[in-house]
Amino acid sequence: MKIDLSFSDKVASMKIDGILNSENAHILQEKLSEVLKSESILLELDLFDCRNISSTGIGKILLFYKDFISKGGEIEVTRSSNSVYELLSMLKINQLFTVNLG
Amino acid sequence: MTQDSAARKILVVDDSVSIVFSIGKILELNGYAVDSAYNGSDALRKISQQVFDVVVCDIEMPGISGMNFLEKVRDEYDHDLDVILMTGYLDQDYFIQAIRLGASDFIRKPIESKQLLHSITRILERRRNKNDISNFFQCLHGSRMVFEIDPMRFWQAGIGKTFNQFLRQSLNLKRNFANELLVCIDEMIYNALIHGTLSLSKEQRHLSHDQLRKLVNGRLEEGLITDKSIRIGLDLNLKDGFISISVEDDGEGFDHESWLRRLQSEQEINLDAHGRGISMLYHLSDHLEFDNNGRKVTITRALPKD
Repeated sequence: MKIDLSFSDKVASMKIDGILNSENAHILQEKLSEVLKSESILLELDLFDCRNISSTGIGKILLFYKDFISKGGEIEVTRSSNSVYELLSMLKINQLFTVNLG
Repeated sequence: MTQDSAARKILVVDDSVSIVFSIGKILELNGYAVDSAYNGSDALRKISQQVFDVVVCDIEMPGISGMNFLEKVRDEYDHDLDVILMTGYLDQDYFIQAIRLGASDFIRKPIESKQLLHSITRILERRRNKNDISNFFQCLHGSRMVFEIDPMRFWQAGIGKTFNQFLRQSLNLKRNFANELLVCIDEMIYNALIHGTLSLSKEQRHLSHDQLRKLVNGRLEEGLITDKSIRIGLDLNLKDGFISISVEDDGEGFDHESWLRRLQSEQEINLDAHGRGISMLYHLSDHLEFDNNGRKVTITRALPKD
């Protein structure tokens, strides 16, 4: 699993490749902490090459979401693979923020 | 057509349309099924969607180079996929780097068809020998295995990587199908360790990585769990076409029925909900079953048809 994170103005762009599971979810947690500490007000998540996410990974995103919206931030999943899109929809994550497919 | 080429699928990757065309023609004339990609990103997408026996990839490409492609394949995609790299340069450093990254072979442009075909045949022969375990499993009606994990050595066990290799290589399961099973296994064993074995709360589970590791190590040192284990069961039934995976711990168990009821009745997401893991297992399996007061969870999936 690999995470690329970049910042531009007040937008953080994060791209996750591979499978996000309980063994590597702490890497996501660390990256999300960087976003929280930054000036960013929008996190663009590219999950197109993310092949699946475990509930630990989802949990990290949701914990971040709570903190991020409390400081006026927003999340958008700009792209997602079929399996991740289905999973986020099934877990009703798309009620919290925009989740785009492919 | 040689014996090796029958039904073998090769992905040819080069930013030059004419080179992809000419290599594709050579391979097709020798009985291989050929697909093509004109850059590294497309090639990665194709290998994540289809199974290829060999990839023949140029090194010098804009964007993701052949070296980057190989590195990504090894780190994030198919650790065992055979990749032949090709280059027009005679640089020794390229050769050394390619070998270090795990290239199956390295050939120089302009491509000599005899050399390319020889390289592919040799790789397929090597792979056939390696696939003996996979062939063994394909010839069974089924198999049942139980793995008993010592919680004290949970972090050293490399359970995810081991099952990834086992499902993909030994059982020869398709990538997406195997990925979904891996997410379920990850879900089940992590819960079995964190909640079942170590009795950590939801709040403790969401501590930072370092804090969680410290807490877990502390619990492990207390010696209260030395008699506990986590049992992973795998039931592969090729005759009836399904696979069942179970994980059982020696913890307190939990009220799984009310959790399932709540998940099914909730219309809106609850950020504090801690039933997402069960919800994912429910979604990713054909059948989800709890036994032994919630200490044992079993998922069953029908095997893909081909």
